[in-house]
Amino acid sequence: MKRMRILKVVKSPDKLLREIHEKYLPSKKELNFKVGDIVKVHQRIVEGDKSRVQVFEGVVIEIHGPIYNRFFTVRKEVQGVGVEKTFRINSPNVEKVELVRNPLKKPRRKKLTYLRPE
Amino acid sequence: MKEVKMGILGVKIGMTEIYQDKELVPVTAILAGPCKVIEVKMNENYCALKLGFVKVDKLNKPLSGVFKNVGEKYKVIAEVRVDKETASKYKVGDVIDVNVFSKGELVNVTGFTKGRGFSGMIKRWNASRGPMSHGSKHHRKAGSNATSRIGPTRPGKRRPGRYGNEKVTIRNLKIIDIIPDKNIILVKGGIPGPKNSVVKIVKN
Repeated sequence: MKRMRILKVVKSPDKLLREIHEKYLPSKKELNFKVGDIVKVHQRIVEGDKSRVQVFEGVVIEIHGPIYNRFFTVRKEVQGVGVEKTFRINSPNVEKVELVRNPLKKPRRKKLTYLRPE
Repeated sequence: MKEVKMGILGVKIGMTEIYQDKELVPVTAILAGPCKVIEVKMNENYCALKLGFVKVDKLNKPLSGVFKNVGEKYKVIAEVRVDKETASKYKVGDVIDVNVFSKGELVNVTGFTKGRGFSGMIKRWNASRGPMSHGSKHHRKAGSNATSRIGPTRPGKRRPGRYGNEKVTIRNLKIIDIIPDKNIILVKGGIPGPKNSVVKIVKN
């Protein structure tokens, strides 16, 4: 090895990478909600040797990322202050996502960033 | 003397994240081997295995002479230092694959960093920038070389120039997992070089 060598041993490394990534997913979770829905996210929080489940309820304002590594952002308002949390769908710490209700009117946008105040 | 152990050649596939014990671990996937032993060096002070990686059909005449005893031709040739005991176990024509490593082991990965071309002081040496306005005219320039008291510019003075494409070894990377049927090793953290670049993995 005397200089940098680029060898196309694999035709598409990204495809192989995706196969590897999918192998390690804990369990493939189906999405039971859409952007605009109101959901309850049950997240396991570990503090030292204790662990508890925290519930975060709010509007899903964004779903992004590839199928094998998807994120979603939930927004709620606490005492007039907007709070947003981003979760990974495949994270083992997200125990379940409960659908509370669908929106009264279907949103026409992919990301509901207009819910944020100025 | 420091104990020198086995190694293998591979190609960087790219980075991803996997869950391990409910924790997200950043990993680099490396397609490693199978490599063929071309030559076994057993000298007094230097024992090594010469490995060939990526089989090819055609090679020029001088290079193909290297593979006279093997029969097959390979694109990449590199040596891996081993101790005398290990070297005596192998002979010409043996195949080395990912199974020489085990999960949880620490390895060193050697590769070449991405070439950055002729780059300035800020990128190459992490220099700070001058003011952009108020007529400073000293935006991204290099500072002073020397003073009249110090004398002429000393050798090794940091200046703009060619950056990148240099040999770098990242030490103590933990092997998170091995996939033997796909010849893939997952190590924790990043390794030098772009995707598809050749790297050498050596036991720490």
